[in-house]
Amino acid sequence: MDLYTASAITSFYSKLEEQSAGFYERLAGDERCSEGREVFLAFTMEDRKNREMVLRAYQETITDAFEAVFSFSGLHEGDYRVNTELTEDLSCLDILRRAVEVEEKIYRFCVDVSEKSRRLLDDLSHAFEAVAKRKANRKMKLGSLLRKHQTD
Amino acid sequence: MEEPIKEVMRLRNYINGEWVESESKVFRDVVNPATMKTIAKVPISTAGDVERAVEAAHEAFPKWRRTPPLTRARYFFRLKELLEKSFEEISRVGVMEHGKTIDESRGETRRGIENVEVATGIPSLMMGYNLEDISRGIDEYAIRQPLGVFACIAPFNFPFMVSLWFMPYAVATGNTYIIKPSPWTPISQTKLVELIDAAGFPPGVINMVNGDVEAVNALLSHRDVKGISFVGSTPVGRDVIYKEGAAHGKRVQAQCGAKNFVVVMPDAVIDSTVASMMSSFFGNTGQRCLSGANLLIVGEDDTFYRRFLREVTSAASNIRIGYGLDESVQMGPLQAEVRKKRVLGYIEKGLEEGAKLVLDGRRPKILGDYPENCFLGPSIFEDVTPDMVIAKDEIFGPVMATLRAKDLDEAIEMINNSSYGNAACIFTSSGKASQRFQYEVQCGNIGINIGIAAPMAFFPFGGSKDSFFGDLHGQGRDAIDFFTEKKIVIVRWF
Repeated sequence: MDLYTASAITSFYSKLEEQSAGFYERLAGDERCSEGREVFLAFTMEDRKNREMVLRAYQETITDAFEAVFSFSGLHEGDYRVNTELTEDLSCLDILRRAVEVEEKIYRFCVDVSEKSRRLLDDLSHAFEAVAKRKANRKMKLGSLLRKHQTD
Repeated sequence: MEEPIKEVMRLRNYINGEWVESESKVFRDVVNPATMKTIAKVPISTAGDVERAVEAAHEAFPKWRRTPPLTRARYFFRLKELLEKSFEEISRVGVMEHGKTIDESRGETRRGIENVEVATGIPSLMMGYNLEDISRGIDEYAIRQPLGVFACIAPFNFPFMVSLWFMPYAVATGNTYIIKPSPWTPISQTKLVELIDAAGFPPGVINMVNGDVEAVNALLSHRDVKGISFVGSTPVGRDVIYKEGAAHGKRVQAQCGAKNFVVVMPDAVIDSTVASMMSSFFGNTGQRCLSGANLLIVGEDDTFYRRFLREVTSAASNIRIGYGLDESVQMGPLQAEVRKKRVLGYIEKGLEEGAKLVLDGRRPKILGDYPENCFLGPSIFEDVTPDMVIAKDEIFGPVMATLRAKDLDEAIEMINNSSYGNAACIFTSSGKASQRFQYEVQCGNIGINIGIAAPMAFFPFGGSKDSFFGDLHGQGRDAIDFFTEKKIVIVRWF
């Protein structure tokens, strides 16, 4: 499905963050990657804060005069869907790789939305840019966990 | 899609802190224009209902006026909190009663809340001023005092927001109030008043009477109503509200119709300008007094003209039309069948006058299985001249009339020749052109690379010529002036 409106964008983003938060919450209670427990719990909280921040940026700045309905084109939901399943057969290494994929997708979504909304919905653009920075940071943290696990 | 209205509501009036039945036996159906289902029945109240509301407001006035401004402000802080909690529900109700998209409706709700936020600053906003020693030992000061009962006659196109352009300022300054919602779209006002009730405003301070012409006439002629705020068409605003209100000694602010020009200079940033055009001309399905109506492309460069018009037409033809609760929808239906019929009449008129219909919205593709009754797609005319009816009349629908001007001089002249003066916008990269535009154009609201020049709550909502009748506008400092009388005191002590 294509995403055309600010409402559709924020709804989809909200689902992504909820999915991501749920993923890390489950992961924190999973024995397979127990050494990352603190990091995953922090990610869960951060996901929910990100979601709040973006929704606030949307709801507190959207006004009838802004171009919320016509600012987005060329964004396809399918390009940003994430897989947050934690099946039995996955090792910690697999799970960490999956986490990096999740972060990469959400990061890409945030960057793309931020770019699309820069000219006409700048507050929203800034909120997504801030989330993208946090996601980029997170990719680094996951990367170091991944490397640590590979060398162990 | 979550529809907050599950069954047909039977609306009532709110008088003296209680929900009461109208004495009228006449009810009108409120219809969701996307589904054509009846979602409420609204009473068409009588002059007797208005009389009771005015009486309640009049009786509540002395005590409310004595309530300290800070205490009055605190009621609005509570209302603001309740509005935030109900933000989504109110916005969804707005879609159901009006037809606009959920983004547009949230935008409207937000604008309404912003006025409540500004009114919470009333202890500062209402301050007077003073000067000591106007003569040796004599001081002089000006204080602002409320006047009594005010009323608002609200339109159908922004059913939640418009009463909030006025009521919070009126009540926060110590007046009491009566809201008369549009009978076409009264549900979000009922939701608002439910929250007003929950916020604990004293009985009689804010009242609501549903209805139509009889209620309007009763408000206009009532001796205890000190002022009227109106938003609606120019004929009604000018010939009824302003004249009758003034004849009965009232303060009047009548914000009326428009025919707004959007000027595109050859140096405009095309991509962003085109996106802004969509919102300006087709947002709220063209049913707003700040909508772009006449697209005026400047310059004799045919290549630029062709390219710009092609891009605008292409973008407009891709607008997704459907039920506004569907988040992928970019334009909803018109608010009622009668409005669609009116717009269709103008499209016919444009064709008769010889304008060329480059995008025909009369048979729109609708997303989902909804009856066509109120739906229209965007229509774009070119070869429109300033003397054509479609370039002069307010159409109030998704119709763009494209005109050309050889230079900015001619563009400004065309705008200033219009009988309306609500808004005008310019899209350009030139500071010099925009500065000149702002200076010379005779309109109350100017947009520079902004397609909808809608003032925020802390600024007055401008408007001039046939777009506004009165002296003081809604919102901002004008609202404080409108709802208060300045009393001057000169003091000497022996």
